[in-house]
Amino acid sequence: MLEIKGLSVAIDGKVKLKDINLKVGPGELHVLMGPNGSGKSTLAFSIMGSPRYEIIGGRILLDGEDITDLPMEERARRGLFLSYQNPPEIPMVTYRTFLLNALRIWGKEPEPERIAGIFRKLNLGDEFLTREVNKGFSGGERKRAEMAQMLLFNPKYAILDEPDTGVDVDSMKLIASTISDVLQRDIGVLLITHYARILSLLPSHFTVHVLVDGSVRAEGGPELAQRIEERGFEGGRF
Amino acid sequence: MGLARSIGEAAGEPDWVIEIREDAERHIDKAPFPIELTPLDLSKFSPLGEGEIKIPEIKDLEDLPDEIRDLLEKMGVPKREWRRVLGLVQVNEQSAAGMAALQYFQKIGVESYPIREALRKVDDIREYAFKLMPYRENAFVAYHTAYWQGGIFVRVKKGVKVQQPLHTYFLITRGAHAQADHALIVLDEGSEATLIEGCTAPLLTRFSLHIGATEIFVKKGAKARLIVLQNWPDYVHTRPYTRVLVEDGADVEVVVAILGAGKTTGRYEEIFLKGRSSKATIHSISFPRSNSRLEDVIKVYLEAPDTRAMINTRGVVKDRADSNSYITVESRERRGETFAHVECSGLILNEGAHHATYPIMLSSSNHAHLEHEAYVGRVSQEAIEYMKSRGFSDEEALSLMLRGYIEPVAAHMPFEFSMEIRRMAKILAERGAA
Ligand SMILES: Nc1ncnc2c1ncn2[C@@H]1O[C@H](COP(=O)(O)OP(=O)(O)OP(=O)(O)O)[C@@H](O)[C@H]1O
Ligand SMILES: [Mg+2]
Repeated sequence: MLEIKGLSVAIDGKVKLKDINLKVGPGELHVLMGPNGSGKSTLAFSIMGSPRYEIIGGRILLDGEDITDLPMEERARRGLFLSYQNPPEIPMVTYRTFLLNALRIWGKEPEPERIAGIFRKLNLGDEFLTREVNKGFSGGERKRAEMAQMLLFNPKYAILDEPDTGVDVDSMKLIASTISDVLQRDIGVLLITHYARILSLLPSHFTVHVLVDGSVRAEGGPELAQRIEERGFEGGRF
Repeated sequence: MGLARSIGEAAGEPDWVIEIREDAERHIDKAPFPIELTPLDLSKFSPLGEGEIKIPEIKDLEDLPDEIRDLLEKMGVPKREWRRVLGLVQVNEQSAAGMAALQYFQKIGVESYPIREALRKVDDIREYAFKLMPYRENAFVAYHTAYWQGGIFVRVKKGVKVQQPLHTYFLITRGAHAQADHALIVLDEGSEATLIEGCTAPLLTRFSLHIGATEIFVKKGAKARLIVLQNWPDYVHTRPYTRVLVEDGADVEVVVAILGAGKTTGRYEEIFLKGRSSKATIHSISFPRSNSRLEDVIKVYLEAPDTRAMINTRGVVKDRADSNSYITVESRERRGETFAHVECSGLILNEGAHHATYPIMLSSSNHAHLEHEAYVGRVSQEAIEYMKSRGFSDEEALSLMLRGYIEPVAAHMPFEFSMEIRRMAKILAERGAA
């Protein structure tokens, strides 16, 4: 269970998240929606442990262990994964080198074949592995590469920050089926999205949390996502 | 009697050599310092090393300062090599390995002597020796030419292709640790060789000034590869000078790694592509740190049709180090086409470190195709954080990025050095992330 308990977060002294409570169990799908700037990515980065975000209250627990004060890499090693909304470039480091070293650090076997297989599954040919990480990758390619990393690292809980934004129809399907896959493997998923579309491609039992202005204002089933799709956030009346 | 003459006479050098020394000596005060380099008050230094740095006498490897021990271990230098790499071997003591190497090379067609011996016994040496030392134009070269001591002569005979790299380090008798050692290298027509100058371990030297110089003649169709490794302790000023003359269809590749830049380093390298279709490739990587000041000057002159220069320099700058690359390519050919591609970049590891690149492309004809890219940047914190989210520690993330950054240069090094250079990047990353 990934538990967020009364989490409040500030950036440069300004409060951005207020008293967030959220529980994601193994194999569960949770959907986080909310207007631009409402704090979704802030929540994702805070859970992952980015030092740019200051936790001013609350705790984060991973399978009962308090990880609130752990550095990012320790959270990753305990089974937390974040798929970035805007995956950055790593200059001069090829994707293959990056992944092989990550596996080495994780104490896993370096498996070039498995990496290539996963990349191909996400419609990324071998040439992507010889390119610098994300350098010159299109938006959709970056998102698919994030999904590939999720498959490779096989975390316990995955936070996916808008994996469906800016991707074409086929990529969307590929990404949705990857998410379905990992749910099947009992990975808990917190999916941040603006669109009901990807949800229609995922298992139909999930919980929607609506974040407005740094607070969770509504929670419900798939019908909540449908309502947002149709009527938006109703001028913040949530 | 001047100092230049007394040095030459004491060593029993031929008159013509002593005359060159004396002429150079007269130019030490007259010749200018190259504008790119930090000037030095040369009168403050003693060419013979009197009153110079007293390095603690190290009888036993156990006496080594911890920092150096630590570095050597991390770099994986075998313990039996420590004395040699640190320069603790007695002057004039030629290593057994060096003697064996000499005999072997002699057999396959490489002529090699200590430079003084060569000046006495190689017939045509006057055609080469000091011909590439512009002591009227450069005060450091004048100082070197007047007061050089020790060094080596290597000639690879016509058509001989040497597979193993020649470590000039092993071959030098007086030691690379003299204040001004002189290397003269001739690759006869169609020959091929890799020469390695210096080594990656830090050097303990009693001189606070080093002005070594290397002259290289690459004759028709020959291929020379020069690997230069430098790791100076922080009390040393160094102004190494290299000039290369490249004939028709010949090729020179220079790979430079500066692992420690001393107090100030001013490398000055000039390559003259005199022959048609001759080519120069230069890769350089440097790791200036603490309070070092590094000036890296590379000048390539395209003087014949179809000459080509490819230059790629990279600096990883840390602490309060100040690093500057001056890359000049000048096309002097008026009719034929000439080509150059220059890339120079610097990676700054922390606030307070400084790096600047000054690429200059000069040509007097529209047949010159000269292009350059320059880049100076910081390590992307965003990328580091992203890697941390994938389980990398700060050091591991920085280390991987540094390795990626130096790889294009490291890849051109012989295996054992590229390993050491990669390890160096790792050491820097560990210290940098702290
Ligand atoms: N590093 C930062 N420095 C300053 N302000 C920031 C920083 N990160 C986020 N913010 C601000 O915090 C607020 C929440 O940003 P966040 O990225 O979490 O929004 P979001 O809900 O993910 O929006 P979107 O749907 O556009 O991705 C915004 O007003 C944003 O400008
Ligand atoms: Mg966002």
